Amino acid sequence: MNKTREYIFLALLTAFAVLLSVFENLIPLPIAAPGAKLGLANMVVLSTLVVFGFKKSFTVNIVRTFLILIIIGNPISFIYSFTGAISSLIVMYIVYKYFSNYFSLIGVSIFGAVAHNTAQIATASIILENTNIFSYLPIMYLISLFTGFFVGFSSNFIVEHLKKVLNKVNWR
Amino acid sequence: MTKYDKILIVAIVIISLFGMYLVKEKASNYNKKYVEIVVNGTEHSKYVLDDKLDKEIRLEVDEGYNIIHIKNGQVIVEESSCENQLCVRKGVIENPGEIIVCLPHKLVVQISGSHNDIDSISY
Repeated sequence: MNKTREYIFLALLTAFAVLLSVFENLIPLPIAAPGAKLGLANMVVLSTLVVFGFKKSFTVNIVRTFLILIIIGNPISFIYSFTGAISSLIVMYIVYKYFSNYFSLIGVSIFGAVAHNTAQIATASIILENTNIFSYLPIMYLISLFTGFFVGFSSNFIVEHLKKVLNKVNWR
Repeated sequence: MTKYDKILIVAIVIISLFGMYLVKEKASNYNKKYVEIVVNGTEHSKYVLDDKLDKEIRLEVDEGYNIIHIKNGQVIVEESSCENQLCVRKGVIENPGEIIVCLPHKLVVQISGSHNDIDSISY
Protein backbone atom coordinates (compact mmCIF):
# COMPACT_ATOMS: atom_id res chain seq x y z
CA MET A 1 0.00 0.00 0.00
CA ASN A 2 1.36 3.37 -0.87
CA LYS A 3 1.78 6.23 1.55
CA THR A 4 -1.25 8.22 0.45
CA ARG A 5 -3.53 5.26 0.95
CA GLU A 6 -2.15 4.69 4.40
CA TYR A 7 -2.66 8.34 5.32
CA ILE A 8 -6.24 8.13 4.17
CA PHE A 9 -6.83 5.08 6.30
CA LEU A 10 -5.31 6.78 9.34
CA ALA A 11 -7.33 9.94 8.69
CA LEU A 12 -10.52 7.88 8.50
CA LEU A 13 -9.65 6.11 11.72
CA THR A 14 -8.95 9.45 13.42
CA ALA A 15 -12.28 10.80 12.24
CA PHE A 16 -13.97 7.69 13.55
CA ALA A 17 -12.26 8.09 16.93
CA VAL A 18 -13.31 11.73 17.16
CA LEU A 19 -16.87 10.79 16.30
CA LEU A 20 -16.93 8.13 19.02
CA SER A 21 -15.52 10.57 21.59
CA VAL A 22 -18.15 13.17 20.79
CA PHE A 23 -20.85 10.51 20.79
CA GLU A 24 -19.87 9.12 24.20
CA ASN A 25 -20.03 12.62 25.65
CA LEU A 26 -23.76 12.51 24.97
CA ILE A 27 -24.28 9.28 26.91
CA PRO A 28 -24.94 9.91 30.59
CA LEU A 29 -23.25 7.48 32.96
CA PRO A 30 -24.95 6.23 36.12
CA ILE A 31 -21.80 6.78 38.18
CA ALA A 32 -20.73 10.29 39.11
CA ALA A 33 -16.97 10.02 39.19
CA PRO A 34 -14.73 12.61 37.55
CA GLY A 35 -13.43 11.40 34.23
CA ALA A 36 -15.44 8.19 34.14
CA LYS A 37 -16.37 7.43 30.55
CA LEU A 38 -16.88 4.55 28.20
CA GLY A 39 -13.62 5.00 26.31
CA LEU A 40 -15.17 4.12 22.97
CA ALA A 41 -12.42 5.96 21.11
CA ASN A 42 -9.98 3.55 22.68
CA MET A 43 -11.39 0.86 20.35
CA VAL A 44 -9.99 2.76 17.39
CA VAL A 45 -6.70 3.52 19.12
CA LEU A 46 -6.21 -0.10 20.15
CA SER A 47 -7.09 -1.41 16.69
CA THR A 48 -4.69 1.08 15.08
CA LEU A 49 -2.00 -0.03 17.51
CA VAL A 50 -2.47 -3.65 16.49
CA VAL A 51 -2.77 -3.08 12.75
CA PHE A 52 -0.54 -0.08 12.08
CA GLY A 53 1.88 -0.07 15.02
CA PHE A 54 2.77 2.23 17.86
CA LYS A 55 3.91 5.39 16.05
CA LYS A 56 0.83 5.69 13.90
CA SER A 57 -1.62 4.99 16.68
CA PHE A 58 0.23 7.58 18.77
CA THR A 59 -0.34 10.12 16.01
CA VAL A 60 -3.99 9.16 15.67
CA ASN A 61 -4.42 9.49 19.41
CA ILE A 62 -2.80 12.92 19.69
CA VAL A 63 -4.61 14.32 16.66
CA ARG A 64 -7.84 12.97 18.14
CA THR A 65 -7.37 14.77 21.49
CA PHE A 66 -6.51 18.04 19.73
CA LEU A 67 -9.55 17.77 17.45
CA ILE A 68 -11.78 17.16 20.45
CA LEU A 69 -10.31 20.23 22.09
CA ILE A 70 -11.39 22.21 19.06
CA ILE A 71 -14.83 20.61 18.81
CA ILE A 72 -15.83 20.57 22.47
CA GLY A 73 -13.66 23.50 23.45
CA ASN A 74 -12.88 22.62 27.04
CA PRO A 75 -9.17 23.18 27.78
CA ILE A 76 -9.37 21.66 31.27
CA SER A 77 -10.86 18.40 30.09
CA PHE A 78 -8.26 18.43 27.32
CA ILE A 79 -5.45 18.22 29.88
CA TYR A 80 -7.10 15.18 31.44
CA SER A 81 -7.84 13.39 28.20
CA PHE A 82 -4.37 14.16 26.85
CA THR A 83 -2.45 12.69 29.79
CA GLY A 84 -4.89 9.80 29.99
CA ALA A 85 -4.67 9.05 26.28
CA ILE A 86 -0.88 9.07 26.15
CA SER A 87 -0.28 6.98 29.25
CA SER A 88 -2.93 4.43 28.32
CA LEU A 89 -1.46 4.06 24.84
CA ILE A 90 2.06 3.59 26.17
CA VAL A 91 0.90 0.96 28.67
CA MET A 92 -1.16 -0.83 26.01
CA TYR A 93 1.83 -0.81 23.67
CA ILE A 94 4.14 -2.34 26.27
CA VAL A 95 1.60 -4.99 27.23
CA TYR A 96 0.77 -5.76 23.61
CA LYS A 97 4.37 -5.97 22.45
CA TYR A 98 5.93 -7.93 25.28
CA PHE A 99 3.06 -9.78 26.93
CA SER A 100 0.72 -10.59 24.07
CA ASN A 101 1.46 -14.28 24.63
CA TYR A 102 -0.32 -13.97 27.94
CA PHE A 103 -3.00 -11.36 27.41
CA SER A 104 -5.59 -11.11 24.66
CA LEU A 105 -6.80 -7.74 23.42
CA ILE A 106 -9.27 -7.72 26.32
CA GLY A 107 -6.41 -7.81 28.83
CA VAL A 108 -4.47 -5.18 26.87
CA SER A 109 -7.48 -2.90 26.84
CA ILE A 110 -8.14 -3.37 30.56
CA PHE A 111 -4.51 -2.40 31.23
CA GLY A 112 -5.06 0.67 29.07
CA ALA A 113 -8.24 1.64 30.89
CA VAL A 114 -6.59 1.26 34.29
CA ALA A 115 -3.61 3.36 33.14
CA HIS A 116 -5.99 5.97 31.75
CA ASN A 117 -7.84 6.28 35.05
CA THR A 118 -4.67 6.37 37.12
CA ALA A 119 -3.19 9.12 34.94
CA GLN A 120 -6.38 11.15 35.06
CA ILE A 121 -6.72 10.96 38.82
CA ALA A 122 -3.02 11.79 39.21
CA THR A 123 -3.45 14.81 36.90
CA ALA A 124 -6.53 15.91 38.83
CA SER A 125 -4.67 15.63 42.13
CA ILE A 126 -1.87 17.79 40.73
CA ILE A 127 -4.21 20.42 39.27
CA LEU A 128 -6.45 20.56 42.33
CA GLU A 129 -3.46 20.12 44.69
CA ASN A 130 -5.43 17.53 46.58
CA THR A 131 -4.52 13.91 47.27
CA ASN A 132 -7.93 12.96 48.67
CA ILE A 133 -9.14 12.60 45.13
CA PHE A 134 -7.34 9.25 44.99
CA SER A 135 -10.25 7.86 47.00
CA TYR A 136 -12.08 7.73 43.66
CA LEU A 137 -9.52 5.31 42.27
CA PRO A 138 -10.98 1.97 43.51
CA ILE A 139 -14.41 2.66 42.03
CA MET A 140 -12.79 3.88 38.81
CA TYR A 141 -10.83 0.62 38.55
CA LEU A 142 -14.04 -1.36 38.88
CA ILE A 143 -15.67 0.70 36.13
CA SER A 144 -12.62 0.36 33.93
CA LEU A 145 -12.94 -3.43 34.10
CA PHE A 146 -16.28 -3.25 32.34
CA THR A 147 -15.37 -0.57 29.84
CA GLY A 148 -11.98 -2.19 29.20
CA PHE A 149 -13.56 -5.57 28.61
CA PHE A 150 -16.09 -4.12 26.19
CA VAL A 151 -13.47 -2.13 24.31
CA GLY A 152 -11.11 -5.10 24.00
CA PHE A 153 -13.91 -7.39 22.90
CA SER A 154 -15.04 -4.99 20.18
CA SER A 155 -11.48 -4.29 19.06
CA ASN A 156 -11.12 -7.96 18.13
CA PHE A 157 -13.81 -7.51 15.50
CA ILE A 158 -12.44 -4.19 14.28
CA VAL A 159 -8.92 -5.62 13.89
CA GLU A 160 -10.21 -8.64 12.04
CA HIS A 161 -12.28 -6.55 9.67
CA LEU A 162 -9.59 -3.92 9.18
CA LYS A 163 -7.05 -6.57 8.21
CA LYS A 164 -9.50 -8.03 5.71
CA VAL A 165 -10.06 -4.63 4.13
CA LEU A 166 -6.35 -3.87 4.03
CA ASN A 167 -5.63 -7.22 2.37
CA LYS A 168 -8.16 -6.36 -0.29
CA VAL A 169 -6.26 -3.21 -1.21
CA ASN A 170 -3.00 -5.20 -1.29
CA TRP A 171 -1.46 -3.82 1.80
CA ARG A 172 1.94 -5.36 2.53
CA MET B 1 -9.95 -14.41 26.52
CA THR B 2 -6.91 -16.12 28.00
CA LYS B 3 -6.23 -17.46 31.48
CA TYR B 4 -4.13 -14.40 32.29
CA ASP B 5 -6.97 -12.07 31.33
CA LYS B 6 -9.11 -13.73 33.96
CA ILE B 7 -6.32 -13.50 36.54
CA LEU B 8 -5.96 -9.79 35.71
CA ILE B 9 -9.69 -9.18 36.14
CA VAL B 10 -9.79 -10.98 39.48
CA ALA B 11 -6.67 -9.11 40.65
CA ILE B 12 -8.19 -5.72 39.79
CA VAL B 13 -11.45 -6.61 41.52
CA ILE B 14 -9.50 -7.57 44.66
CA ILE B 15 -7.34 -4.42 44.51
CA SER B 16 -10.32 -2.10 44.10
CA LEU B 17 -12.37 -3.79 46.82
CA PHE B 18 -9.37 -3.55 49.14
CA GLY B 19 -8.98 0.12 48.19
CA MET B 20 -12.64 0.81 48.96
CA TYR B 21 -12.23 -0.93 52.30
CA LEU B 22 -9.19 1.25 53.09
CA VAL B 23 -11.08 4.44 52.20
CA LYS B 24 -13.99 3.38 54.40
CA GLU B 25 -11.71 2.29 57.25
CA LYS B 26 -9.92 5.63 57.20
CA ALA B 27 -13.27 7.40 57.48
CA SER B 28 -14.58 5.62 60.56
CA ASN B 29 -11.86 6.58 63.07
CA TYR B 30 -12.74 10.20 63.68
CA ASN B 31 -14.95 11.85 66.22
CA LYS B 32 -14.86 15.39 64.88
CA LYS B 33 -15.64 16.27 61.30
CA TYR B 34 -14.88 19.30 59.20
CA VAL B 35 -16.12 20.46 55.82
CA GLU B 36 -13.40 22.02 53.72
CA ILE B 37 -14.15 23.96 50.58
CA VAL B 38 -11.07 24.26 48.43
CA VAL B 39 -10.98 26.32 45.25
CA ASN B 40 -8.01 26.19 42.93
CA GLY B 41 -5.81 24.54 45.55
CA THR B 42 -6.35 27.17 48.24
CA GLU B 43 -8.76 26.81 51.11
CA HIS B 44 -11.88 28.92 50.72
CA SER B 45 -13.63 28.08 53.96
CA LYS B 46 -13.82 25.43 56.66
CA TYR B 47 -16.68 24.52 58.98
CA VAL B 48 -17.12 22.09 61.83
CA LEU B 49 -19.65 19.59 60.55
CA ASP B 50 -22.35 18.62 63.02
CA ASP B 51 -26.09 18.08 62.89
CA LYS B 52 -26.91 21.63 63.91
CA LEU B 53 -25.08 23.41 61.13
CA ASP B 54 -27.39 24.58 58.37
CA LYS B 55 -25.68 26.71 55.81
CA GLU B 56 -26.04 27.51 52.17
CA ILE B 57 -22.96 28.80 50.41
CA ARG B 58 -23.00 30.41 47.01
CA LEU B 59 -19.55 30.17 45.58
CA GLU B 60 -18.47 32.36 42.70
CA VAL B 61 -15.51 31.05 40.75
CA ASP B 62 -13.95 32.33 37.55
CA GLU B 63 -15.85 29.84 35.43
CA GLY B 64 -19.29 30.16 37.06
CA TYR B 65 -20.92 29.35 40.37
CA ASN B 66 -21.65 26.47 42.74
CA ILE B 67 -24.26 26.34 45.48
CA ILE B 68 -23.21 24.16 48.39
CA HIS B 69 -25.66 23.22 51.10
CA ILE B 70 -24.64 21.89 54.51
CA LYS B 71 -27.50 20.39 56.52
CA ASN B 72 -28.02 17.59 59.05
CA GLY B 73 -24.34 16.69 59.01
CA GLN B 74 -24.43 16.20 55.26
CA VAL B 75 -22.97 18.23 52.44
CA ILE B 76 -24.34 18.48 48.92
CA VAL B 77 -23.62 20.58 45.89
CA GLU B 78 -27.13 21.66 44.98
CA GLU B 79 -26.46 23.65 41.87
CA SER B 80 -23.60 24.26 39.54
CA SER B 81 -23.10 26.13 36.33
CA CYS B 82 -20.66 23.52 35.02
CA GLU B 83 -21.61 21.50 32.01
CA ASN B 84 -21.06 17.95 33.19
CA GLN B 85 -22.96 18.36 36.50
CA LEU B 86 -20.93 15.55 38.09
CA CYS B 87 -20.66 17.52 41.34
CA VAL B 88 -24.45 17.74 41.57
CA ARG B 89 -25.02 14.12 40.63
CA LYS B 90 -22.51 12.93 43.23
CA GLY B 91 -25.19 13.61 45.87
CA VAL B 92 -24.59 13.94 49.60
CA ILE B 93 -21.37 13.20 51.44
CA GLU B 94 -21.10 12.82 55.19
CA ASN B 95 -18.05 10.78 56.19
CA PRO B 96 -14.40 11.85 56.45
CA GLY B 97 -12.51 11.06 53.30
CA GLU B 98 -15.54 11.58 51.10
CA ILE B 99 -15.14 14.22 48.48
CA ILE B 100 -17.10 16.11 45.84
CA VAL B 101 -15.08 17.38 42.93
CA CYS B 102 -16.09 19.85 40.27
CA LEU B 103 -13.25 19.61 37.80
CA PRO B 104 -14.36 22.45 35.48
CA HIS B 105 -14.44 24.87 38.42
CA LYS B 106 -11.37 23.42 40.19
CA LEU B 107 -13.56 23.02 43.24
CA VAL B 108 -13.12 20.39 45.93
CA VAL B 109 -15.54 19.91 48.80
CA GLN B 110 -14.14 17.42 51.23
CA ILE B 111 -14.85 16.14 54.70
CA SER B 112 -11.90 15.66 56.98
CA GLY B 113 -11.75 14.34 60.50
CA SER B 114 -9.62 14.77 63.55
CA HIS B 115 -9.09 12.84 66.73
CA ASN B 116 -10.20 15.03 69.55
CA ASP B 117 -8.64 13.41 72.59
CA ILE B 118 -9.66 16.09 75.08
CA ASP B 119 -13.32 15.40 74.38
CA SER B 120 -13.02 11.70 74.89
CA ILE B 121 -11.19 12.17 78.19
CA SER B 122 -13.59 14.76 79.54
CA TYR B 123 -16.62 12.61 78.77
